[in-house]
Amino acid sequence: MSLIQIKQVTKSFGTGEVQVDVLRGIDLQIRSGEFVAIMGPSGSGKSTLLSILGGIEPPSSGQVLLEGTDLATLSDDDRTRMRRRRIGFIFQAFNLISTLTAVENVCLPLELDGVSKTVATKRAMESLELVEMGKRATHIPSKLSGGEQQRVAIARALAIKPAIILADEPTGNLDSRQGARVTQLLRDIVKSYQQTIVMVTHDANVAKSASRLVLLRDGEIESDQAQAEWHSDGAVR
Amino acid sequence: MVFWRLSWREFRRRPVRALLTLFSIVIGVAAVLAVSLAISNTRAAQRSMLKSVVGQTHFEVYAEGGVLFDQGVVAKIRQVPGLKLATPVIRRFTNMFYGDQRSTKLQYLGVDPKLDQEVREYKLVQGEALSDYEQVLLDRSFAESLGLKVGDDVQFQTQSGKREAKIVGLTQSSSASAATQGSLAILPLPTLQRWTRSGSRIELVQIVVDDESKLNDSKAAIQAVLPSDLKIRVPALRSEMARESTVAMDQSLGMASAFSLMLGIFVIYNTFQMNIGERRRQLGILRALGTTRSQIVRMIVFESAILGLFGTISGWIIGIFAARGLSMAMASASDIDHPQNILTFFPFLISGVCGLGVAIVGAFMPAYRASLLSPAEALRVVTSGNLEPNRKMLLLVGIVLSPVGFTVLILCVLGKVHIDHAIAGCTLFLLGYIFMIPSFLRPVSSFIYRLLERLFGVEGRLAQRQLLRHRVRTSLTIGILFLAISMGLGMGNMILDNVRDYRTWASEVLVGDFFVRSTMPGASNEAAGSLPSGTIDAITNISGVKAVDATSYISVRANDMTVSLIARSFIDRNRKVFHVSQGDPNAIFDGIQRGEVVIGSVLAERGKLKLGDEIQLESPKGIVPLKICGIANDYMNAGLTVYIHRPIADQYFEIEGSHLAIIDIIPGQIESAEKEIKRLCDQEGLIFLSQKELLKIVRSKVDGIVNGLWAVLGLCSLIAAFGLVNTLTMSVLEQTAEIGMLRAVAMTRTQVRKTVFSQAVFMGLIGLIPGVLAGLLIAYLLALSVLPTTGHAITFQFRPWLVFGSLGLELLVVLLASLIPAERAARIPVAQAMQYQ
Repeated sequence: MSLIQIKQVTKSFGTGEVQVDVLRGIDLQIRSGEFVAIMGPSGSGKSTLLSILGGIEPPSSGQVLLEGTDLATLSDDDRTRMRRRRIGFIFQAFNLISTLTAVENVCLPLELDGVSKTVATKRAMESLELVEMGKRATHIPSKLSGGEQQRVAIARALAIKPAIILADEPTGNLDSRQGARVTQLLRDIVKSYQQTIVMVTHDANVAKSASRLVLLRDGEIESDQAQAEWHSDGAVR
Repeated sequence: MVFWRLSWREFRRRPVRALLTLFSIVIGVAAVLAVSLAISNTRAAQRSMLKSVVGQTHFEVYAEGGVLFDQGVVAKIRQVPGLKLATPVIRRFTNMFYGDQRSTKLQYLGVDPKLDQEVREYKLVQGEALSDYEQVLLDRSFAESLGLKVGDDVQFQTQSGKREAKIVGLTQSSSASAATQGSLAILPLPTLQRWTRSGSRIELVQIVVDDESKLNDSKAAIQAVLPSDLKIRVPALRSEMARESTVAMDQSLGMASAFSLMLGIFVIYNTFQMNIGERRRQLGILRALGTTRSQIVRMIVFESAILGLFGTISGWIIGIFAARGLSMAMASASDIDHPQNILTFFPFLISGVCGLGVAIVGAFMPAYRASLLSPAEALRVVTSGNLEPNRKMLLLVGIVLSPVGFTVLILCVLGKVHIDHAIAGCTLFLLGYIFMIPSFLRPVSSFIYRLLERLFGVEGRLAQRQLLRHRVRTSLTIGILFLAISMGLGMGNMILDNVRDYRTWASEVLVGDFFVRSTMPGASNEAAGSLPSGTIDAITNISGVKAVDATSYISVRANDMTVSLIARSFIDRNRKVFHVSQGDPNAIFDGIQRGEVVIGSVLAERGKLKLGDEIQLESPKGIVPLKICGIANDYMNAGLTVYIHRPIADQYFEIEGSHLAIIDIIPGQIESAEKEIKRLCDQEGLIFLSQKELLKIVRSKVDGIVNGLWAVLGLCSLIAAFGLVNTLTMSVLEQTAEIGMLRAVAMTRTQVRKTVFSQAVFMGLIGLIPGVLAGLLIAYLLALSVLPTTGHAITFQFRPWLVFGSLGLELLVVLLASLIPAERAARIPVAQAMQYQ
């Protein structure tokens, strides 16, 4: 069974003459344990698709089913709870709370979900150790490098043991060395924990880590191939 | 031009932020202007009342104790060279009846119609001048407010009963300093002489000299022709007691004014700090693109000047309307009729400096700091706390200011410094504390968080960290709350202490079964009208009347001060007349009978007079030294009072009639006597009051003052609430991207609301709890500081209902103020918020 299934999803912004159709009837199924990379030129609708997958934005039409639940049928609060329990987010700009330490940032979604501080801290430390940030747990974001901040963000996403991680340009703000390290980390997570990841990226090298590549163009899926197929096709150069 | 375009785009891009900044200026300016204008209007109305009677008069010739004297002296005075004119006057306070037996208290003047217009600077705007006996001129605005017009008949309460006169003309002041003649009726002198049964006697000669540079010479020349029982003075002396009677109110309003100014400055400065802080990244981009530091500063200062200008003008407009309401409240409390909303320069200057000046300074400092950052620093997504002033410097300033302010307060308590400086002391003391807040914000907020961790949850921790991110800004908002509650409690407690003291005095001193008088009691008994002659005898002869205490009030000079001499018939040893602070009550009664006097504690303090000393009263018969047998706490004429036995007073002062009859009734005959006395009063147009009614009037007068002051406090609370709404909304705006991320990752709307509420509660608790303590300390010190000035200590009383009520109310204000920003934060669209910069 698919972990996420989206059916005929469209998304438009504005109305009338200024209406922009960002997504035009997308169908997509993502199975558990897949590492999916979404690529496409600017304005192709990658980030919007990711927002819709994560329930951050509602589609203009169509259905988004996460583990069989239609996100549109949930209230705002229920959707939020679904996000914090089942979806982990990784952003390009890291988006850590600047006033909280690394471990506090990782604890945050757990504590907001009512997990006791002790349990949350224990799980947060496990996640930080996993991304090799245990020794920097008490540092605030401004004292960490970009790569370190992104690893904390990954730890935050992992801490909730999500069904799926949605990553929006996770290496976009990093230099190549740090970017490679983060990419390797994501690959290891998928391999070791069968974690499902959907990643939007511009970087073909990063995309190569994924097991499946979805190419978007003008709001439509241009191609959707498994790693072996697109490597041989040369879809990504 | 490009910067102007950038600024304009910035306004349009963030209209809420621009409006909040604008509103903070508007409300700050409006509050400062309203309070300052209300104070200056009340003062102007007092001056106007005085001016309408005094006019251009340089000197007044009078007899001690307001005794009437023969008008023949006017001819002698007119022979003195260098005088423009000398005109005889009688003036009295009375009731004027009009329409369907409605009445109003006013002052009526008996004047020489030919000369009067030259003295009092008014012009006839309707009708004609006085030409016959029973005619009267009224001020046009006063007449219009009563619905009277030329040709209407009115009646006056006089010593010979009710007398009628026709309104023949309406006047309007032509003086720049007196916008209105107010509640003043001008009649021909002979008419008033007849009504008051004065024969050819007069009360004053008003004199205008030709050459103001030779005032001293003219005074000496006039003095030389006067008989020994007449004196010459500058008219303003009469206003001394009126001024004394409003000292407490001045004090409270001065304090309210200082606080509203501080609150206004805080709100405006804080808003600009936030505004610039939020735009730091944009400024970084400009710097990266080659904008120089001075260009950045100039751009922001220009923006703030424009906002400041709009805000100041809008604030002025609102302030003018608010001042009108506040002036009315103050005027009713100060016994002033029809205050005008005179737009004097100074309040506009002060509020303008507050609005425009603080906007520019408030923007300049963070702009200057922002300009010092390198483009790379400015572009970094980190806290913008480094745009804030240096905390150590603020701590140092606070450590200096608070003890200085506290010392000033203590010196006021010890009488080493005048009580007027207590306002400055309070201001410095509170400001010092506010400057210190940034330094202890972290430990205090952490302590509160730990204390209420279960209640706050993780949202509380986020809130606390957000507050610490901008410590100075947070501290200023806390300071606004701190000021609001410390001022509210300090002034509120002081008001209530004074009111309690006044009511105790009134219920102990205003004793009698019935009271009869011709005019309602005012702020000063100098403004009391006389009872018609024969009234005392008529009341005494009514069956069931046990005794009548005929009381008179006259102004005399004593020990170089103008005091109120209160002559009463002390006939019953057991009747309580004084709220004695020094002296044995039994010995006082005997002393009074022997010709000794009781003086008010304020007079004792001012004149350094003690029990057993002699007070030097100036009488028509020369200086009369009278021994002081008691000192009493007295609210009559602000405590500048001398109580004397009526027969003794009659020996030295030619007291004309009585102003008040205090009547005791034989037990069991109350009802029949009341009926008879009421009948007499109806016939003569006199005011009849039972003790209960008199106390009710006294209390309602006090309630008027109290309500006026509560209104000022309410205004300050409103500013504080606005400051909080502003800070929280700006804080939410600044956190938009962060809130968006939290919403995306894990936060429900309720949790977002809780985070914003928690911020408000943190600021509330840190500001309000020390504010309560500071307020109580201020109230305590203010109560003590009254002693050196009045000679009468006001007992400080701790009122749990006031303390906890204020705390609860302000916390409620805090929570209500956070509603809008909390809701705004909760409704932020997640996807858009994450793009917010």
